[in-house]
Amino acid sequence: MTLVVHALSESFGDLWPGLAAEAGLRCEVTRTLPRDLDPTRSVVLLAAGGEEAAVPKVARELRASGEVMFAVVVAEAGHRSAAAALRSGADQLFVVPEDLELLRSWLKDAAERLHSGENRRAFAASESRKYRFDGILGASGSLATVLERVSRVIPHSNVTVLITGETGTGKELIARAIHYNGPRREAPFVDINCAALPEHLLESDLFGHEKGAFTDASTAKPGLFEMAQGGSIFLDEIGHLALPLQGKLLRALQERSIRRVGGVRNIAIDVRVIAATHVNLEAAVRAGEFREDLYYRLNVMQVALPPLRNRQEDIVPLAKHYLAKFAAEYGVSCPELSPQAARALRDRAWPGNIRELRNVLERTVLLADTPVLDAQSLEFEASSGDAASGQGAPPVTLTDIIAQAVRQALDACGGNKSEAARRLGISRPRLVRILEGGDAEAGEGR
Amino acid sequence: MSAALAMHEVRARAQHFANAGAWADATALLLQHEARIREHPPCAALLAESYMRTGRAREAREWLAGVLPAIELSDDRASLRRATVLFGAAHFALGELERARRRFEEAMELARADGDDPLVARSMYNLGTIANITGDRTGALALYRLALSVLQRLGDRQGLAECYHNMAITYRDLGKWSEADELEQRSAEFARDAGQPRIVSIARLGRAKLALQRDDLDFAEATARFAAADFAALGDPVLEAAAKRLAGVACTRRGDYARARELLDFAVTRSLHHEATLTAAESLRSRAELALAEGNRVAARQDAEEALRLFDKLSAVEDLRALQRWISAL
Repeated sequence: MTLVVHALSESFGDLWPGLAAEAGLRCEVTRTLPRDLDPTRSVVLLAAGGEEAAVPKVARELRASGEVMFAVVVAEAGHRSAAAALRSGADQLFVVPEDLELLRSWLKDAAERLHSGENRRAFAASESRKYRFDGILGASGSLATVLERVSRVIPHSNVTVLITGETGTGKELIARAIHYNGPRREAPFVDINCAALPEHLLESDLFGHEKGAFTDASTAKPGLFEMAQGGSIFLDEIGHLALPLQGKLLRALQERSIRRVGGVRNIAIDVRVIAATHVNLEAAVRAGEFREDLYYRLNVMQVALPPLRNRQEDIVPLAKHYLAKFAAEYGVSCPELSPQAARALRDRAWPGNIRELRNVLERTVLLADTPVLDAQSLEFEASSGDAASGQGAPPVTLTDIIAQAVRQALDACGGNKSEAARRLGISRPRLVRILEGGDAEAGEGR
Repeated sequence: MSAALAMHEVRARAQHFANAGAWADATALLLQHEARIREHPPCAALLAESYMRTGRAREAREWLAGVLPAIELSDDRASLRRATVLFGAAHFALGELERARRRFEEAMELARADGDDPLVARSMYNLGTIANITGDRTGALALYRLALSVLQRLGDRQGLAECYHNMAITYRDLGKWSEADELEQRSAEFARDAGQPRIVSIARLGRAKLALQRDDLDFAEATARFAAADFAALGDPVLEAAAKRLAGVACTRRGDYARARELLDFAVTRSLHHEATLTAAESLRSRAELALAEGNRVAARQDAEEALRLFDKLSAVEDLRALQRWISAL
């Protein structure tokens, strides 16, 4: 990182090396106009003590050469000459010696911005490596089709993507891969689970609020759409978005602007929307629980992730990957899979998909005491069926089974209906209908 | 000009002390020039930070109350932002949460207006912590989510690791254990990327706590033991004791009393030796539970009463009351 001093005069020449060193910058003094400066690595001072009249012209030339941060340093300045310097493109003007401390602060600030820009680029590069496509494991045809489809959408940074698939199939991983392999990678990837919050909190989270918009709004707060500016927003469990919010999201997608709760002005947003759901949205549209126009707006490019049971040939390679990963994390030797263990893994239905496989293998690495794993070494998670069978008499009809599942989910979620609905993969209104015994479709097991 | 340069020398020397972690020296030097640094925003903010770093939150608060109006009138926005967030931190350290919240909100607004992303993230993060403490868990999560987006923009992996860990604690408090576990894993991942093994181990400890709450005792014990070994290697005896306590609790619940005894004796001795009051109180309480499980009511009462004394010293009211109820049921 360099402080480039374009010196129009000799004044204050002894100050620059010290100022640069204090800000952690290398100092380079030049008498000619610096060109082709890298704005990500340089900050410029136009040192014009005694040559104030030349400032507007040189400042204009400097600004024309690029987006580099630069300030003008003069020995004296009236308000007209100061205004002229700023109009010519300078970011700041300092009169030395009076403003020496302000100049120091500005330089420190500028150096911090250069460093944070560098950190941001390094972060984006490392996340891109983490989520690169050839790092997504699997050789199955169904996964290859998905990845091919995803790779086509990546360069088109404004295209909305809808990712569907059962819980644990890796929807968020694909969303991150789309973001970090695409042109928006240096901006944030913001994610939110639409099922996790009540409607009014989700609205404020997504769109922000103005001071006084509601009782607790003691200050204005930006929303996630604003914070994702330039990047991507990942709306997980979009099928659980309440209808009024669906309307607001639709407007945001159509107009590419949002309005904070309690606000009066529209704020332009430049964000790619990636939505995900394990709910059948077409069915939700038919049931009147999801807006058709929003569905079509989101469904520009649909990526349907296959469940793990449909990717049998991927199970063992994935298992070996996780065994090696967790062995490295815990600093233990990596156990091998016996043929029996591999068969047990392939034969399982994996209702929790890749997340369940990962959890099983982490436990195995931690708890196994043999170098070669047999089928008994693998501790599979109890399925929801196992848990249900331990509680009370078995239900008689399909309707009973559904109602019992809903009540158990509700208990497990501390009475939170949205969360229970999310876990069950049904909409909240349907959950309420089932609880009230009025869900005509419950018996069909839809 | 000579006065400005002299002040600059004071600032440079104090900053040098600060960079070296010699905050007491920085405080002493700045106090020698107290009258002059009142009019010098960068030094005024640095003295406030020196007070905070040396555990003198009350002095920091009084100092900032006196100098902030002058800093507000200066053109030095960087010092104003810094002083404002330090004011919030001083209130926070003194338990004045509402005042701290207001100052952090001011700091966030200043930082957003000036494009100071690191301070935006820090303010949001601090506001999230206050929300969590005051029981507004969803508010805390919203603020942490906002902080995450800024931390990503900054490429601050350590900040991301810490923020994910805090979110995990909030989810744990909400009883959402699988979400909390996912976030602890993400915290560990970013901590690993950032080369911060201590945060990796803290996340591991968090996962052990979650496993205990899920009653997944084998996983809890194994994870806590790994965390204990990590903390031992990192030279952090207090967190090593905390991790062994968790492993001991898992062993007690599983009925493996001999292993539990070994782990909990270690946790109690080590935490008392290092005057880690909270860890010592929790370890004594866990050992009391073990003693009761073994049928030794006398030892259980003895440890529980010692734990009670320590919780009282910490003003940990909820723990105190729960333990009183436990003792009375003995």
